[in-house]
Amino acid sequence: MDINVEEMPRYKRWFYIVASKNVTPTIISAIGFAYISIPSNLQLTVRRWLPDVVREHMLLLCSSETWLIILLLVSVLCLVWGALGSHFTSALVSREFKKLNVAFNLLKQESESKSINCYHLFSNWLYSYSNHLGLEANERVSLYKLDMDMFSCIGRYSENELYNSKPSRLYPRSQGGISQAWELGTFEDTEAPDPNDNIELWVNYNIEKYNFTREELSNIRMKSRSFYGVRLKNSQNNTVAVVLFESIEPNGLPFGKLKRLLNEQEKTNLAALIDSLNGHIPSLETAREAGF
Amino acid sequence: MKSVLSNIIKYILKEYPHKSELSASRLTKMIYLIDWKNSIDNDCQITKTVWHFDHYGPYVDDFVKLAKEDKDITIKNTSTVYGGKKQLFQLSENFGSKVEVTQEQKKIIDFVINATKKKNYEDFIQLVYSTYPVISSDRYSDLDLVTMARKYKEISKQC
Repeated sequence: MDINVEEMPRYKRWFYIVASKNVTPTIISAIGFAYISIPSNLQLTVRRWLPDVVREHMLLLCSSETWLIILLLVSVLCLVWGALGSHFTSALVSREFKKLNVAFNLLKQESESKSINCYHLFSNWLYSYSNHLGLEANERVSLYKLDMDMFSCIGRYSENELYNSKPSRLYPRSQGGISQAWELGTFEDTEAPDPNDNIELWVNYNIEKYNFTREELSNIRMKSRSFYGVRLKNSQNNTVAVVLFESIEPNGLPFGKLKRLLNEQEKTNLAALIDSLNGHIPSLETAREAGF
Repeated sequence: MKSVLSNIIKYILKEYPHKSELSASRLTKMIYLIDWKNSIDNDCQITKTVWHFDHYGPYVDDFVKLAKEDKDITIKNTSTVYGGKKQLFQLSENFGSKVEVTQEQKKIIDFVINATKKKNYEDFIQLVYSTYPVISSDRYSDLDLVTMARKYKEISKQC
């Protein structure tokens, strides 16, 4: 196993490099002690395996007893080297393993729980609708999900930045085109009066038809005159969301194209995506379950 | 107010089981949850902080400054597994004095600690982003937690 020694201080690095070459010393110490432990007559036999010239030269340097002591010292040294090397390497491996294990668990935790910006994702999905339908600055498409009896906007797209912002409010279940689509399955309306001609007529129309209050209407930035809403059901036939197209023009929405685009397959696809990402979508229900 | 906030920070630093998770971001959002929970349960915030909905969620300006000035709190600069910088808040080694929080405050703080201690950072953020003030407010606006808690309770009653 390769261990990264670059981060170690120099003395430790060298110590590790020397200590890790412990295989040869271990073998030498084993051979040395084996030689020392065998009877003298066998030692003599072993010594005779050496060439005569080498033996004679060695005996000229030291006596056989001295060589035995040298061999003992070398064997002890090699044994210590082998043992220390083994211990040091295993301590390093263990430390590296712990570090890797911590990093692995953190990465695993991160990868398992990596949050997805669902609003961004669904807005991009709606952008593809807007692009396909050729919607312009007077139009907008939004995706609403029911959350604790209120509609929460989980995606929105408009070419007009004024209408493109994420709403900061939740919409009551009983109000607006969202609730109509939620109840009826599909909903369209192009009857709203022109607020530029007569705002009072537009306000009254929305109060009567969509159950809005005057105050709520005064806060609505996009004074829409045409709507097309579609309810989305998941594979268990539970309603999960509503897609709502709006325009400030009575003829701003291409209804024929909208119906073809939001066919059964497309609705199933989008509902399945919402269902799959449910755990990543911030919701009041999540907070309520946790006691907030 | 500073003293209350300071004591809450110290209580969290003392009692939260996973000390290595207490970054500035997590600590700030835990204090936000404490204020939000108290607004729901007791119709007032504990810290009297003016919460602001920043790009990264609920935020308060002077929290980090307050912690830095407090000799009982140390800030350790560390890094995330991706190499990003992270500030870890810890109680000083020689901190031995008692943290002064009332029983009511303790109950709320313990609730927040218990509700969040098993959540990894992403799940924790998901919880913060799912709270009513965040879900129903514009980014870069101030969060009036007490008023929002009243509205939230009305919605909850209808469900």
